[in-house]
Amino acid sequence: MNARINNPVRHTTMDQALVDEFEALLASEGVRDVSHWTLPNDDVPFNEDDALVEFGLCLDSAFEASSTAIDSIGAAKK
Amino acid sequence: MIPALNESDDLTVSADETDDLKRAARRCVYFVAAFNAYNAKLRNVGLNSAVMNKVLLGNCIESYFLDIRRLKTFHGMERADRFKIAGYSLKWLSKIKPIQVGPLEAVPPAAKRRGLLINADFALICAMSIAKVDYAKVDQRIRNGLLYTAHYRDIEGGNMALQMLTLAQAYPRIPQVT
Repeated sequence: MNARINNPVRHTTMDQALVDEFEALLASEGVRDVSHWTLPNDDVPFNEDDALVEFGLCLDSAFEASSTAIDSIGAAKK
Repeated sequence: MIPALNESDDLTVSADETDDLKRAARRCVYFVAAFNAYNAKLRNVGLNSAVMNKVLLGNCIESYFLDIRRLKTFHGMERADRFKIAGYSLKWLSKIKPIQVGPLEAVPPAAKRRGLLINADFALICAMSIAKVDYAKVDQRIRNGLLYTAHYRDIEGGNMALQMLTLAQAYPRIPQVT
Protein backbone atom coordinates (compact mmCIF):
# COMPACT_ATOMS: atom_id res chain seq x y z
CA MET A 1 0.00 0.00 0.00
CA ASN A 2 2.74 2.46 1.02
CA ALA A 3 4.80 1.51 -2.02
CA ARG A 4 1.82 2.33 -4.24
CA ILE A 5 1.32 5.72 -2.64
CA ASN A 6 5.02 6.57 -2.78
CA ASN A 7 5.27 5.49 -6.40
CA PRO A 8 2.05 6.70 -8.03
CA VAL A 9 3.21 6.43 -11.66
CA ARG A 10 3.06 2.66 -12.05
CA HIS A 11 2.32 0.71 -15.14
CA THR A 12 -0.71 -1.48 -15.30
CA THR A 13 -1.63 -4.68 -17.03
CA MET A 14 -5.27 -3.68 -17.40
CA ASP A 15 -6.97 -4.16 -20.76
CA GLN A 16 -6.17 -0.92 -22.61
CA ALA A 17 -9.05 -1.36 -25.09
CA LEU A 18 -11.50 -1.55 -22.21
CA VAL A 19 -9.90 1.49 -20.59
CA ASP A 20 -10.32 3.41 -23.88
CA GLU A 21 -13.92 2.24 -24.14
CA PHE A 22 -14.71 3.49 -20.65
CA GLU A 23 -12.94 6.81 -21.27
CA ALA A 24 -15.17 7.37 -24.31
CA LEU A 25 -18.25 6.22 -22.40
CA LEU A 26 -17.62 8.52 -19.43
CA ALA A 27 -17.01 11.48 -21.73
CA SER A 28 -20.14 10.84 -23.79
CA GLU A 29 -23.12 13.15 -23.67
CA GLY A 30 -25.86 11.73 -21.48
CA VAL A 31 -23.54 9.85 -19.17
CA ARG A 32 -21.51 12.99 -18.46
CA ASP A 33 -24.69 15.05 -18.02
CA VAL A 34 -25.87 12.84 -15.19
CA SER A 35 -22.47 12.14 -13.61
CA HIS A 36 -21.59 15.83 -13.50
CA TRP A 37 -25.12 17.02 -12.79
CA THR A 38 -25.33 20.23 -10.75
CA LEU A 39 -28.59 21.70 -9.60
CA PRO A 40 -29.21 25.30 -10.67
CA ASN A 41 -28.14 27.99 -8.24
CA ASP A 42 -29.60 31.44 -8.82
CA ASP A 43 -28.81 32.62 -5.28
CA VAL A 44 -26.77 35.70 -4.53
CA PRO A 45 -23.46 34.88 -2.77
CA PHE A 46 -23.70 34.66 1.02
CA ASN A 47 -22.79 37.93 2.70
CA GLU A 48 -22.29 37.90 6.48
CA ASP A 49 -23.37 41.54 6.96
CA ASP A 50 -26.67 41.03 5.12
CA ALA A 51 -27.18 37.69 6.87
CA LEU A 52 -26.80 39.36 10.26
CA VAL A 53 -29.44 41.94 9.40
CA GLU A 54 -31.74 39.06 8.35
CA PHE A 55 -30.97 37.24 11.60
CA GLY A 56 -31.83 40.34 13.63
CA LEU A 57 -35.12 40.74 11.78
CA CYS A 58 -36.30 37.19 12.38
CA LEU A 59 -34.82 36.48 15.83
CA ASP A 60 -37.81 37.67 17.92
CA SER A 61 -40.40 35.56 16.12
CA ALA A 62 -38.05 32.58 15.71
CA PHE A 63 -37.15 32.62 19.40
CA GLU A 64 -40.80 32.77 20.35
CA ALA A 65 -41.58 29.89 18.00
CA SER A 66 -38.74 27.77 19.39
CA SER A 67 -39.89 28.58 22.94
CA THR A 68 -43.29 27.11 22.09
CA ALA A 69 -41.58 24.00 20.73
CA ILE A 70 -39.33 23.67 23.77
CA ASP A 71 -42.22 24.23 26.20
CA SER A 72 -44.18 21.43 24.55
CA ILE A 73 -41.46 18.81 25.12
CA GLY A 74 -42.55 16.03 27.39
CA ALA A 75 -40.97 12.77 28.47
CA ALA A 76 -42.49 9.48 27.33
CA LYS A 77 -44.92 7.97 29.84
CA LYS A 78 -43.62 4.77 31.40
CA MET B 1 0.15 2.06 -20.72
CA ILE B 2 -1.72 4.27 -18.32
CA PRO B 3 -0.55 5.35 -14.88
CA ALA B 4 -2.22 3.55 -11.98
CA LEU B 5 -4.57 5.42 -9.73
CA ASN B 6 -2.91 7.28 -6.89
CA GLU B 7 -5.17 6.93 -3.87
CA SER B 8 -3.73 10.03 -2.24
CA ASP B 9 -5.28 12.12 -5.07
CA ASP B 10 -8.67 11.53 -3.49
CA LEU B 11 -7.56 13.42 -0.42
CA THR B 12 -5.87 16.29 -2.21
CA VAL B 13 -7.69 19.60 -2.45
CA SER B 14 -6.30 22.65 -4.16
CA ALA B 15 -7.66 25.96 -2.96
CA ASP B 16 -6.34 29.25 -1.77
CA GLU B 17 -5.75 28.64 1.92
CA THR B 18 -5.60 32.35 2.76
CA ASP B 19 -8.97 33.08 1.17
CA ASP B 20 -10.47 30.09 2.97
CA LEU B 21 -9.09 31.32 6.28
CA LYS B 22 -10.53 34.80 5.78
CA ARG B 23 -13.88 33.41 4.74
CA ALA B 24 -13.97 31.08 7.74
CA ALA B 25 -13.01 33.94 10.09
CA ARG B 26 -15.82 36.12 8.71
CA ARG B 27 -18.29 33.29 9.17
CA CYS B 28 -17.12 32.80 12.77
CA VAL B 29 -17.73 36.51 13.43
CA TYR B 30 -21.21 36.18 11.90
CA PHE B 31 -22.08 33.33 14.27
CA VAL B 32 -20.61 35.15 17.30
CA ALA B 33 -22.71 38.24 16.52
CA ALA B 34 -25.81 36.09 15.93
CA PHE B 35 -25.15 34.27 19.22
CA ASN B 36 -24.80 37.57 21.11
CA ALA B 37 -28.27 38.61 19.92
CA TYR B 38 -29.65 35.15 20.74
CA ASN B 39 -27.96 35.19 24.16
CA ALA B 40 -29.71 38.46 25.05
CA LYS B 41 -33.00 36.62 24.50
CA LEU B 42 -31.78 33.73 26.66
CA ARG B 43 -31.13 36.08 29.56
CA ASN B 44 -34.74 37.26 29.31
CA VAL B 45 -35.91 33.70 29.91
CA GLY B 46 -33.62 33.13 32.88
CA LEU B 47 -30.64 31.46 31.24
CA ASN B 48 -27.63 33.62 32.05
CA SER B 49 -24.69 31.27 31.70
CA ALA B 50 -24.44 30.57 27.97
CA VAL B 51 -21.16 31.32 26.21
CA MET B 52 -19.92 30.73 22.70
CA ASN B 53 -16.70 28.71 22.85
CA LYS B 54 -14.63 30.32 20.09
CA VAL B 55 -12.32 27.32 19.69
CA LEU B 56 -15.24 24.95 19.18
CA LEU B 57 -16.90 27.45 16.84
CA GLY B 58 -13.69 27.68 14.79
CA ASN B 59 -13.57 23.90 14.54
CA CYS B 60 -17.22 23.89 13.55
CA ILE B 61 -16.80 26.48 10.78
CA GLU B 62 -13.63 24.92 9.40
CA SER B 63 -15.40 21.56 9.26
CA TYR B 64 -18.28 23.25 7.45
CA PHE B 65 -16.01 24.79 4.83
CA LEU B 66 -14.10 21.54 4.31
CA ASP B 67 -17.43 19.78 3.81
CA ILE B 68 -18.57 22.41 1.29
CA ARG B 69 -15.20 22.35 -0.47
CA ARG B 70 -15.40 18.58 -0.89
CA LEU B 71 -18.91 19.02 -2.23
CA LYS B 72 -17.75 21.64 -4.73
CA THR B 73 -14.78 19.51 -5.84
CA PHE B 74 -16.86 16.36 -6.19
CA HIS B 75 -19.81 17.91 -8.01
CA GLY B 76 -17.99 20.67 -9.91
CA MET B 77 -20.27 23.12 -8.12
CA GLU B 78 -19.31 26.80 -8.29
CA ARG B 79 -20.79 27.78 -4.93
CA ALA B 80 -23.32 26.61 -2.38
CA ASP B 81 -26.81 28.09 -2.39
CA ARG B 82 -28.47 29.30 0.82
CA PHE B 83 -30.14 25.94 1.45
CA LYS B 84 -26.82 24.12 1.43
CA ILE B 85 -25.28 26.84 3.61
CA ALA B 86 -28.20 26.44 6.03
CA GLY B 87 -28.18 22.62 5.92
CA TYR B 88 -24.45 22.21 6.40
CA SER B 89 -24.28 24.95 9.07
CA LEU B 90 -27.05 23.15 10.93
CA LYS B 91 -25.13 19.89 10.64
CA TRP B 92 -21.89 21.25 12.08
CA LEU B 93 -23.39 23.50 14.77
CA SER B 94 -25.45 20.54 15.98
CA LYS B 95 -22.50 18.15 15.86
CA ILE B 96 -19.70 20.24 17.44
CA LYS B 97 -22.04 22.12 19.83
CA PRO B 98 -19.98 25.30 20.26
CA ILE B 99 -22.31 26.90 22.85
CA GLN B 100 -21.64 25.92 26.43
CA VAL B 101 -23.79 26.51 29.49
CA GLY B 102 -22.96 26.68 33.18
CA PRO B 103 -24.72 24.70 35.91
CA LEU B 104 -28.41 24.20 35.18
CA GLU B 105 -29.48 22.65 38.47
CA ALA B 106 -31.02 25.79 39.95
CA VAL B 107 -32.69 27.26 36.86
CA PRO B 108 -36.44 26.87 36.17
CA PRO B 109 -37.57 23.82 34.10
CA ALA B 110 -38.15 25.88 30.93
CA ALA B 111 -34.64 27.32 31.11
CA LYS B 112 -33.26 23.82 31.83
CA ARG B 113 -34.88 22.50 28.68
CA ARG B 114 -33.55 25.47 26.71
CA GLY B 115 -30.09 24.95 28.20
CA LEU B 116 -30.07 21.29 27.20
CA LEU B 117 -31.19 22.07 23.65
CA ILE B 118 -29.28 25.31 23.25
CA ASN B 119 -27.05 24.22 20.36
CA ALA B 120 -29.84 22.57 18.40
CA ASP B 121 -32.09 25.59 18.98
CA PHE B 122 -29.49 28.16 17.95
CA ALA B 123 -28.45 26.08 14.93
CA LEU B 124 -32.05 25.83 13.77
CA ILE B 125 -32.77 29.54 14.19
CA CYS B 126 -29.62 30.36 12.20
CA ALA B 127 -30.46 27.82 9.50
CA MET B 128 -34.01 29.15 9.16
CA SER B 129 -32.70 32.69 8.91
CA ILE B 130 -30.13 31.75 6.23
CA ALA B 131 -32.66 29.71 4.23
CA LYS B 132 -35.25 32.52 4.57
CA VAL B 133 -37.82 30.28 6.25
CA ASP B 134 -40.49 31.90 8.41
CA TYR B 135 -39.82 29.69 11.45
CA ALA B 136 -42.77 31.11 13.36
CA LYS B 137 -45.13 29.85 10.63
CA VAL B 138 -43.68 26.34 10.55
CA ASP B 139 -46.10 23.77 11.93
CA GLN B 140 -45.26 23.03 15.56
CA ARG B 141 -45.02 19.29 14.97
CA ILE B 142 -42.38 19.96 12.30
CA ARG B 143 -40.54 22.39 14.62
CA ASN B 144 -40.44 19.74 17.34
CA GLY B 145 -39.24 17.14 14.85
CA LEU B 146 -36.48 19.46 13.65
CA LEU B 147 -35.40 20.21 17.21
CA TYR B 148 -35.35 16.51 18.09
CA THR B 149 -33.40 15.74 14.90
CA ALA B 150 -30.83 18.49 15.48
CA HIS B 151 -30.33 17.37 19.09
CA TYR B 152 -30.31 13.58 18.79
CA ARG B 153 -29.89 12.38 15.23
CA ASP B 154 -26.93 12.20 12.90
CA ILE B 155 -27.54 14.98 10.42
CA GLU B 156 -26.49 14.77 6.79
CA GLY B 157 -25.96 18.22 5.29
CA GLY B 158 -27.38 17.46 1.85
CA ASN B 159 -30.61 16.05 3.26
CA MET B 160 -30.95 19.02 5.58
CA ALA B 161 -30.42 21.35 2.60
CA LEU B 162 -33.39 19.70 0.89
CA GLN B 163 -35.42 20.05 4.10
CA MET B 164 -34.54 23.77 4.14
CA LEU B 165 -35.61 24.15 0.51
CA THR B 166 -38.91 22.41 1.25
CA LEU B 167 -39.55 24.57 4.30
CA ALA B 168 -38.63 27.74 2.40
CA GLN B 169 -41.16 26.82 -0.30
CA ALA B 170 -43.86 26.05 2.26
CA TYR B 171 -43.13 28.85 4.74
CA PRO B 172 -41.26 31.63 2.89
CA ARG B 173 -40.16 34.62 4.92
CA ILE B 174 -41.52 37.71 3.23
CA PRO B 175 -39.04 40.61 3.40
CA GLN B 176 -40.28 43.39 5.67
CA VAL B 177 -40.89 46.73 4.03
CA THR B 178 -38.99 49.43 5.86
